[in-house]
Amino acid sequence: MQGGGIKPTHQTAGAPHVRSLVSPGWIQLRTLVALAPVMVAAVLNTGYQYLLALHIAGDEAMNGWRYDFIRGLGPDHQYPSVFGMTSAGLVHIVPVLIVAMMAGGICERIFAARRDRPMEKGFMVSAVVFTLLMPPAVSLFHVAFGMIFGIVFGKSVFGGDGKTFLNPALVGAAVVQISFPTAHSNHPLWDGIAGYSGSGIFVDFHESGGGAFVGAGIDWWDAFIGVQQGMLGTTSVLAVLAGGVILVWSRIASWRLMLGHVLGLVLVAAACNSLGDGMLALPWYWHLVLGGFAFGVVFVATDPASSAATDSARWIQGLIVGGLVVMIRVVNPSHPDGVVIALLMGSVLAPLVDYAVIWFNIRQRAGRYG
Amino acid sequence: MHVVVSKGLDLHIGAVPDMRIAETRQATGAAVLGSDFPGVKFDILTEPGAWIRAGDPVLRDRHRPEVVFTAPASGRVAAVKRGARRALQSIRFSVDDTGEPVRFDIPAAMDKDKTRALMLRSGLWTALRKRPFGHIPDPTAEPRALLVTAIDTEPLAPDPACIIAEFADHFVSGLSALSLICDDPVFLCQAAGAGIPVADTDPVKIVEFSGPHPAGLAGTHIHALCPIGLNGGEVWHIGYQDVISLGHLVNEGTPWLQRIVSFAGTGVEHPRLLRVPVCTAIGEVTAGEFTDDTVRIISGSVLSGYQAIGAEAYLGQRHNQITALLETPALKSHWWDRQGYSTRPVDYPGALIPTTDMERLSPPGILAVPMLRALLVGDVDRARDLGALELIEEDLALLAYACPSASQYGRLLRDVLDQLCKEAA
Repeated sequence: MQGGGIKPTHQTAGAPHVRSLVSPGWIQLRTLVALAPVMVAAVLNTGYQYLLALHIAGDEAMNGWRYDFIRGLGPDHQYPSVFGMTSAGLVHIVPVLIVAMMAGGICERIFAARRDRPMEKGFMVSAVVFTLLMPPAVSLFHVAFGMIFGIVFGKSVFGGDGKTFLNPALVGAAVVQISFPTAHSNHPLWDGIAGYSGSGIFVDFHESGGGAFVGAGIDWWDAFIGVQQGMLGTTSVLAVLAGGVILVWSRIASWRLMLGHVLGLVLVAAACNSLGDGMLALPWYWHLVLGGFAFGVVFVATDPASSAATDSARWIQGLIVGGLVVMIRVVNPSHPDGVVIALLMGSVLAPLVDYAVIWFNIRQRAGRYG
Repeated sequence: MHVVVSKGLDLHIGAVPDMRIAETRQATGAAVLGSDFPGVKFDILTEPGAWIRAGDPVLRDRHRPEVVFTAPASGRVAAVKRGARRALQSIRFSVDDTGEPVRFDIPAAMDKDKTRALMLRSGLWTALRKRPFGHIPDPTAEPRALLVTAIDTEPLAPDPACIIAEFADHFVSGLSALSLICDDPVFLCQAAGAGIPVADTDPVKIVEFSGPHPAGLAGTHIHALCPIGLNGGEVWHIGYQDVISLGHLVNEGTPWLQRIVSFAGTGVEHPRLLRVPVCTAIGEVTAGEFTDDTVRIISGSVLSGYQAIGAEAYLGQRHNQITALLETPALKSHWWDRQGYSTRPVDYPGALIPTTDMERLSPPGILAVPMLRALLVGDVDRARDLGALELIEEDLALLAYACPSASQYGRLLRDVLDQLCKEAA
């Protein structure tokens, strides 16, 4: 043990004499493993999209240090190879990840030292999730700002890993979105190229209806596999599903919560479809694969510390937040994706739903036994 | 009646013991432990150096003088150990086999009062436990039901059916005597298909339980058969070996002074059943049986037992097993490994992380995470409202096993129950 922190009196060696290996570190390791397929998909898709943009827009439209770097590595944008995609993708992701890790780690270290407690490692998972929620051309200043805000005000002030009521990565991503709206929601994803925005697909849909997908040249399977514009890590629903299976199998994340989100989204989307056209008419199966919904549900909403803690409440939270995502997407063009905001509301809502479930349980018990 | 328990976990720790009663072990030490009887203030009826016979009263409940605790063996009182605030820790005996055990007069025609009086006199009353609180029931109280726990799903537990088959006569007599002490139904809780013998004339209801641990805990049975609350009366339960002991008393005039325990765990060379004296010194009966010098010897199961060292190096009154664990060298885990366990205490307490495992391992009918949170912050009222009165320490053992915070929920629950008991009085 590092430092001289307080050790509660109930923490002595007694029954049970064996403990499961489930520790915060184990949970974080599992989550990182579950994030691995998403990281791979993120690298490949980001690289592919960048080379595509380069191909369409031409060298003269590109600028910035990422462009210089990728040009230096020399991938062929006419016929993108795996090497080309990987290198272009890594150039986008690695700096963001390093900055996020360093910003989070420094904050964590300072708080650990101030509190004379060992350094917790949850910031690593937060940094990865945060990175994957960033747009490819994000400014590194924004990354550091968001990550510091997320770790300090999303986690450390509440006592550290597992004691938060909001997911730190989500707090960071939200504060970046809110503080720099033009740089994120509607911003061109690639330095200097107009018209390539990730959540812009929703904006397009607001304006031109179903033709937006034809215009953007994507079909549903492209979106499912992840060959589409978007935030770094949220494009590939397939990779997210693979991670989700690992999380559910590890019994870290709740499948009830995930399914609740999907059900809520499907129900509200179906209701909207019957109401009108334009954005209202976007079918539920498109809602599922576009934007950050899948990633947010699997890796952010199910964070055990900041979601509902009883099974019934998990269903309810999922249903509400899933519906909320559609509502924000449909009726609020200023937040085209809506996932980050909806998930934040979901986390804030979770204790209330838990409270209701507990109240109901207590009433039921009192009715049963007198 | 058959009850299927769907949620729970069977821990696999070491080889399953050979379910034949292998041999009898003797020891020169024995002790009655105060910690086996939560909520009791003891009056000591003897003094170090006195000669006593097995069955002589040595301790008494200060608030209910008719509840006495009898000596588990004949011999000399070796020591009376007191712990914090002069609470009785243990009263130790040097066993001397030459002394005859006390013979109790068995009335020819048993009825409710006579049976209760006999159990009180012989010390067997202290084998009963009541919910709520897990204390020894009041001799004048009326339970809403009496449960005989003849199923054991703790890790490495002995198979009750094998042991009862060996002592079928005594068990049937004991069950008949038990069915006299209360007017309400006696439930015999057994594993599915165990076929435990019952006399046809007795008003005993047989209930079968199947599923993973905690299918064998009295708390699970009570929840399924006769749930209780603060104003819901009380339910009594008793272990199957104590029923055998009662039958022995009725048939032969002396309580059964032995227990069949499973002796198993990762540190045991030949896991098997042993016949040992009640409350015996564990170190003596298990000497030379370990694979390693540094095993952790536990009276009871790995989930709910206590480490048999120092003042507590004796077999617990209600324990049917002795477990020996090799200390795992370091916490090693692979990301794909879901079943691993460690014997090391956690270096630094983390937070309670409500993974989905919590709901899976919670006692039936309890909201796991809200309950654990109430216990952690010591919110007595909330814990009571969420059902703490249905529980005792062993019911929360699986949650304590799985929770990353490594908090001792059993001890926290006991604090809450003590507080509630004080308020109810």
